[in-house]
Amino acid sequence: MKALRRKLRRDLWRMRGQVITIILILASGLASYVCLAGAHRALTTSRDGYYARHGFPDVFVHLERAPQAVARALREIPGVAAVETRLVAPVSLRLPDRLRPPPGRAISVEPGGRAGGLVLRAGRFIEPGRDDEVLVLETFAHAAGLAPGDRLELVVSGQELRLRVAGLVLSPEWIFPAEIGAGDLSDFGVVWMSRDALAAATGKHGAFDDATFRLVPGADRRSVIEAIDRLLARWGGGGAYGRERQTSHRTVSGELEQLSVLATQVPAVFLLVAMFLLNVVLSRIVHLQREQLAVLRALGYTRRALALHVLGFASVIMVGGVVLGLALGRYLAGAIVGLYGQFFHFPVLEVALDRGLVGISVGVAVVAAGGGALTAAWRAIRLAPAEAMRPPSPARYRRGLLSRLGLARLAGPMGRMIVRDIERRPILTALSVTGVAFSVAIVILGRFSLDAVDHLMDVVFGRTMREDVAVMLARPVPARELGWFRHAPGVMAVEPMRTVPVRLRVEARSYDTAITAWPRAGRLRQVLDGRDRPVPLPADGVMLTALLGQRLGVGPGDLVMVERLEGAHDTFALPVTALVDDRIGMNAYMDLAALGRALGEEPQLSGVLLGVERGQRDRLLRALDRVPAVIAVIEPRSFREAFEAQSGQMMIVWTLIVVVFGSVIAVGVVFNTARVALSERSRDLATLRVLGYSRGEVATVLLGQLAVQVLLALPLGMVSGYLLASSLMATVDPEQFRFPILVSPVTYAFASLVVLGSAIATAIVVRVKLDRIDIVSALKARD
Amino acid sequence: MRERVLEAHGLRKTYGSGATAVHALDGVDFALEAGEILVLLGPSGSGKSTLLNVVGGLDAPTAGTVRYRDHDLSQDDDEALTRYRREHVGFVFQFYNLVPSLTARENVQLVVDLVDDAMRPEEALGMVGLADRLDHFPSQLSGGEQQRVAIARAIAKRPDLLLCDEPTGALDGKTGRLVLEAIATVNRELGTTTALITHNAVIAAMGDRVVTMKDGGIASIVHNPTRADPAALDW
Ligand SMILES: Nc1ncnc2c1ncn2[C@@H]1O[C@H](COP(=O)(O)OP(=O)(O)O)[C@@H](O)[C@H]1O
Ligand SMILES: [Mg+2]
Repeated sequence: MKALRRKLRRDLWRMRGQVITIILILASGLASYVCLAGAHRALTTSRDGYYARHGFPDVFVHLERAPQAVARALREIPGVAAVETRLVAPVSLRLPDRLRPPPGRAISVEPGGRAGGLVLRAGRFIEPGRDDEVLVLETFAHAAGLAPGDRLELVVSGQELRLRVAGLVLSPEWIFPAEIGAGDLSDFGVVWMSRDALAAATGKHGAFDDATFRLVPGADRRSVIEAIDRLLARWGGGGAYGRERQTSHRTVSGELEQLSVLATQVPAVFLLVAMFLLNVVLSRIVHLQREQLAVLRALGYTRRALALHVLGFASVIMVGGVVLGLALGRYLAGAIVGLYGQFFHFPVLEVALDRGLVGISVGVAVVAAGGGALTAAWRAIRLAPAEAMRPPSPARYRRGLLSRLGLARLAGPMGRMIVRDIERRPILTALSVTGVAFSVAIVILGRFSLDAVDHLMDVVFGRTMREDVAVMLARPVPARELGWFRHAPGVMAVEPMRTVPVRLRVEARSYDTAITAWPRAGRLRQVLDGRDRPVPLPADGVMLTALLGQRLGVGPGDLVMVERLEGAHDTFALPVTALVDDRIGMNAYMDLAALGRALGEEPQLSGVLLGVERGQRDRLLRALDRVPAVIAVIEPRSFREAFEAQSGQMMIVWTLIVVVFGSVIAVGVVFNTARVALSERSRDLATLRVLGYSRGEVATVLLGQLAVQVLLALPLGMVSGYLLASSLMATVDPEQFRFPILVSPVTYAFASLVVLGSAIATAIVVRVKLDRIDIVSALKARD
Repeated sequence: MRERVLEAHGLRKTYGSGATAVHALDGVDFALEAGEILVLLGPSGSGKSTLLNVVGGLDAPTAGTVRYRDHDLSQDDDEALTRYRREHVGFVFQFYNLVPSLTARENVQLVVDLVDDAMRPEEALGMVGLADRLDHFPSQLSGGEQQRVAIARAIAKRPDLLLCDEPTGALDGKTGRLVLEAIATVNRELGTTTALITHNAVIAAMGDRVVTMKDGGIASIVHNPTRADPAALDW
């Protein structure tokens, strides 16, 4: 057996280029699996552990205000295990170096901080009786440069509070601390303060306006939510909801779902390609060495020994792939989890290569390598010694469909060689084409979401929100207050805006959202439809997001019942006058005057949209800072810039990973098919050289065949990339985002370029090898 | 004496180095005369193929000179050698070396595409008696037929030199004779200078001159007063 082992070692060495490229593809597949599945597990484990240890609630509700005594009634709802009541108020945080005070939430907390599942990260909890202390969400504190002991000024309900930071905390309710999208971390702050202090500021002594619930296992959540809503209707209940509508949970879960889809798709692509290449290469080896193998059989080696010999080749590739894949995957998982750590904040977030992950990787590698080697091993076993020793007879060709179509005649003898070779091996050709197509698809899969997000950003922050500054007010004010803004420094245009939290009801169906209204004639906001065309607000009635209309089962002409989730909780009917397929959220749009008529009140405004003169922004923001009614100041443009700066970095990392992965496949497939073709055809090519064809002309036969394969692969890759992208997109909650274009032309072009580039680089290597072919010895070679 | 189309002096070809060096050619002087059929005889390993490959521009000698008319091949790079083969040389090998994916006609067409005043493929195939096999793929032809396609391919461009390395080595006697007849026909009708390797002494009778090689050198040169008709050869 020693001789056989030596032969194996020499074969491996001689074919090291092919061996290495297949190892790389297998390793990429395993690495992508370990990294994506590992990140998925790390995030899931951290989240679930965090939720369990710190009691993440099952149901949430916000209300106007209710006396503390109502809490007992809530606790008695069947299915409720625990209730926590609290005060939650919008807050505006005054930071010394920030012109635009970041908005956020102030949440009441019991002394000692047990409530709310807070995790202390620095400093200490608030001590009993310390109404001047505040706990700050650690991530915001870091971004804003706050530490325990620092002073912090904030405005709650128009009152300025001067507090001192007691400690920094994390909370399972704020793993992803933002209301909308991912902006800068310092753009949204969460603070916890003593109940008395917050009650004093909001005037809600002895009351609560927010509650969280934990349910007993197996409780019927739906009926609990209905009971809560019934109970709180008197108290301005804003509609109870489960975890799936809690912003932080929803964002983290959405991301986890995408990871799990990626963790099956991407590795599957790699492993299929690795399997295919191993099959091609090993079959070729067995074919080339059939004489040697026959001699070995004649010498008395058993079939088993020969099969093991072939499988040995595959197992070297398998071991190499597993070792490299696990190491690389472990590293990448760390990197990805680190990236997530910038957005999602857990007390502990660690990647561990658990036994299950390693076991699956090894299992998959065995299947891929074994599957790839099986037919070759089978052929080695079935080799009849006598047959293998017979002199070569020319490979069988015939005129195929393409030739009959006259295509080959156009191309001359060289073209005919290309066409007939493709025809003779349709399956092999199809598989190589598929392999290269996969690499196109992988690049598309890695990049398309950036396009989609970019487009969405443009639609929302560039074309829907056209104001320079949006000012949110703590509570609605009469429309005449607009006058103040008209005279604020630098203001060129002022438009009022109103949002009303509502529950829309049609028969048994209901949906909680907000009506957003501005004047029809206004120019600072516009709703865009599915083709990004502006849609005017109807003069009367409400325009719903098409999906919302669908959920409620209404269209233009139908009536929808509206219950206000603020103030008097009055109910009225509104005609639906239009549906619009806008991009984000489940919206209800109205003309401001029409909303006033429907509510039966003087037009009020809860926000102001401003067009600001160039260079006057800072003056305006300083002036707004002195207005207590202002709860938040939003600049769509700077939000977008911050987002783009951040996603720009992500994009570079992602693009790099995708390019590497895509190229690994493209190079692997092209190189291996080229090497096999080269070995099959070296005698033909040498013959052409003898006849007087130059190196370049001979190269066109081989490289032309590769070129045809790559060119066929491009459109196929685009289609499969699109399909992979859509299946990933299917995991995005359409109530949150509806992405318009799945894949942009730029991404298609980029993917094609990556693959073409890899193919050309590989072709150059093959060309060099081709030039080195020794004519005389190639002529002697037997096929 | 006839014109010397090709002349080689002091040819050496050494494979490997040091103790394991093999001198495939060990100082050979050699010439081809216009229009002749030259037969190269000699035991296996004596250097016949090496000599033919060097002369045909497939291989470069380690030392020595090769002149084709007034052109010095030993100074040529790959590109110039390719041009030399393309313009002047036709090769025929023991294992035919047809391109399996091309029909007989297309295999010949390969050469016709390269040069200006070539024969039509049908004409070349007609000369070797295969006018009725034009559209067969190599796998559909017998060994002798394949070899005649190879000859047609070699002579379609009306080469100055036709170099055949054991063209009958893989064929039985009857088929081999057909192949040799084709070669003799080409020589007679086109006046192509022909060199033919064989280790079969009977075949030597069809040549004008018979060069016998041994251990990388030339052992003897014999002039045949008359050439035998290949059809009359018997082995
Ligand atoms: N590529 C090569 N490498 C090493 N030795 C070679 C090579 N080609 C030929 N030889 C050696 O050169 C000698 C002459 O070979 P060759 O010209 O093929 O002989 P012939 O054609 O007369 O049988 C032989 O000993 C052969 O082993
Ligand atoms: Mg020989």
